[in-house]
Amino acid sequence: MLFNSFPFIFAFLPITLLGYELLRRYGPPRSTHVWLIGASCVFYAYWNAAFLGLLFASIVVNFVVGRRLQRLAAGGAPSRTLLSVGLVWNLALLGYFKYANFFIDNLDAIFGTRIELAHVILPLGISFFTFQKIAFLVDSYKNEVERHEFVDFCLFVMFFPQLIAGPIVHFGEVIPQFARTSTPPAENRYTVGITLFAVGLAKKVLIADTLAVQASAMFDGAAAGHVPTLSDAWLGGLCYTLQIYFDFSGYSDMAIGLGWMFGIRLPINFTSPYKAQSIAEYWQRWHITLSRFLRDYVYIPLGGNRCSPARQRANLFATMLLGGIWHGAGWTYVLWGSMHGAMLVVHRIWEQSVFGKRHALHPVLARGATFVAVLVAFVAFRAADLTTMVHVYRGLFGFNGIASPGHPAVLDEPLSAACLGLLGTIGVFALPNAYEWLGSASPSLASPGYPNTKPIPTQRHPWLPDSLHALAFALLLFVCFLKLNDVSPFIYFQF
Amino acid sequence: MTSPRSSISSSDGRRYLRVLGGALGVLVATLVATTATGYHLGLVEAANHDIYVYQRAKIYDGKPVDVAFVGDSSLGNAIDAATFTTLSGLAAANLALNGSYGSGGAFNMANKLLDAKAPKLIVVTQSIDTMRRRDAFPGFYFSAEPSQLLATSPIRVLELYFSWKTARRVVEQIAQNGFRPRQETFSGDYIAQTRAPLGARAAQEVADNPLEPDMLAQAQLDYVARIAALCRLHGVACVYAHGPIYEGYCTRARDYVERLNERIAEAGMQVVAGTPVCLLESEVGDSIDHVRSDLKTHYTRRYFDLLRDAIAEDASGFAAAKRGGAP
Repeated sequence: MLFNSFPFIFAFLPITLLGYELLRRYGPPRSTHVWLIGASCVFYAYWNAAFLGLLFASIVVNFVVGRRLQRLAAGGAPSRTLLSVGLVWNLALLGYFKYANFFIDNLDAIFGTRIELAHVILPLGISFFTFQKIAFLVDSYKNEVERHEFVDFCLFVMFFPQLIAGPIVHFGEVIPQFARTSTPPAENRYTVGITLFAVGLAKKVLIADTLAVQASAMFDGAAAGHVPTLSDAWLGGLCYTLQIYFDFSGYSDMAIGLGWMFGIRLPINFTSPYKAQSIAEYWQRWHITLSRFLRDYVYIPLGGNRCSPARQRANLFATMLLGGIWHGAGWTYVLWGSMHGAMLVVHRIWEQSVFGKRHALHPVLARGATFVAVLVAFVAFRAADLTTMVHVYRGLFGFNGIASPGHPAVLDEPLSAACLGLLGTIGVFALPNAYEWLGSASPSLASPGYPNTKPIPTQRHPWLPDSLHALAFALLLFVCFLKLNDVSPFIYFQF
Repeated sequence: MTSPRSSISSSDGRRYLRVLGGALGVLVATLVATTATGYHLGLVEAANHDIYVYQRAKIYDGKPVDVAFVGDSSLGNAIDAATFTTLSGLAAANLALNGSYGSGGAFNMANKLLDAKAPKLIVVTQSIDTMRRRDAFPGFYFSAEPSQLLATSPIRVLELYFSWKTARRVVEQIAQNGFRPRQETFSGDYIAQTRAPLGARAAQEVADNPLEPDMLAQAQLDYVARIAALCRLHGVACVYAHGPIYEGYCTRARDYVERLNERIAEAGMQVVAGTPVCLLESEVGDSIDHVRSDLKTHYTRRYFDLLRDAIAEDASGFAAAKRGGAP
């Protein structure tokens, strides 16, 4: 079920909230957990009920393995073998559903074989909940998991606001909140939760979906064999760079707002990533919960910063490469991950060099350079295939000519694209993010090691729970509702 | 983990929620009231009550029906039931609505007919253009009986009424013509054509609105499948005959028609060979899929020829068609 749909907003959410409030007041302990698990099942099954069984099987296996790992770890004999079994189970599921088609397609292409395999459908959210469960198993192995019941574990995996596209939460972040007997006051939860949900909905349906028209025109045109000119490629690339930010951060805002309506704080996922002054800072602001997963469960186990500089760089590159592969089964994602890995390595070398230590770039220049680097990498991320990617890169670097009256344009409305791109760029560079704007009312969780996740409240026109803001948000929600008939899934649902 | 701090006082929070909820409620109610007024008064095409009431009356007129045609305006403008009755010797009824009703409307007309009468053959005739219209629910909703609506999702109904596009059209209509809906003039089976024939503009339409295979609307096909299931349930023969269309589409939309035929067959209905019937530019009426009024008898004859197999006069009278309707 999409957050930006009539069934979700006008049926699923009100019914779920009503049931939750009734059970919270009058029901037995943990009845709200059971209710939320049931609601999450409906939420997930609305897309494809067949995969509910897979989700449950995966939950049961992970719970059993996790419980055993915790016992062994508590007894001073952590079992690496059992951890490996758990990890293999999760990675095998992810590997089969996400990468089987890709693997076989490549085998066929290399060896000229024609291996028959029924087209494997990717279960929604598998990349996200698999990472969450891997983190749980590793934490269990380290004896860092608090005592919990099966119901708690189910809710940890299935809690619908974060089930399909994150934020990727740690067990320790949410379980104590589920276990809490008192819930924050309803007025606070709904006031802030609805406001944040509205911000996210507006980002998605008003901004991201509008930018998507221009971005798709360029990328689809390139995929159809049209040659994007310099201006086409940059405008299309800019629109996509902005679209994916507003799409995914909009989803995350909605998820955090929804979580808070149920009294659960979810970790912040985006903190104005395009304001980053380096690619390393970008990854401290972009998809933070994935970034910290890769840091904690890949980069640090590989040696982190405690090894030689050369090894550090290799680890950094490998981590980002894995991040790219996690996004999708395709060479374009591999390239995107590699580009970010390479950029991080170059940044690390620059940072560690004498020259880099003495000569910091001007903040505006650093911000601009980072934004352009991210944009260039997103071309690989968005392109349907390698040929399309090459087409667009040729345009981006001026090999297909500059836009001219005689040259057939890929973008139908370059002026609209330019205006949208300009407005969006001003927005992402100049405006505070939703959490800075909400200030002390922000319901998000901070992530240790990510300083921007503790938002500094903005001083200029902060959000206030007054009538003027209420009216403005009523109007904003109404305008968003008008767009609900144009169904458009979130970009990250495909991962 | 500590309990989260509340930075908002209860009174502020309550007032905020009251104002937000109240304002949002007023805005939503205004929009819904506007669209509801438009639908109720028949100011928008999707709720053209005149044609619906006119055709529905034929179902409850007490006369027997052997062959019934359900579909959109391409049918309404192409087939004259009286001529078809004369040609076939079977009592024919043309129950055409319009493209806005689409397959949803055709399904309801077939459903009502099967409840009220005992037809031997139902022919679904719709323009190939109708099958690309993404939303078939309005057509179902506005031609449904109250009892059917009890089983309809309230969310689907809300989607229908919560439409900025419809509200805008209603306001435009009211600004132009007041609260009076456009008065339709009926001629024989269907609404009379009052606009001039398209002529050379037909070719421009083909260029402006190409039909590609990926444009097919699943929602329309779903109702075709429901009609097929209904026919099987009642043991009645059903066939699908595309409505006539300007010849430009016959050549330019070949892939689209091919895919459409496959999908209709998958939905459980046989497509009558020779359809869509292609119209010369000089034969096109006021729309690319409307036959010129003076050629209606001629085209009724053509459709009769195409449907001969379906109404083969064998022992059971309609056995051939039944085979097609129940794969």
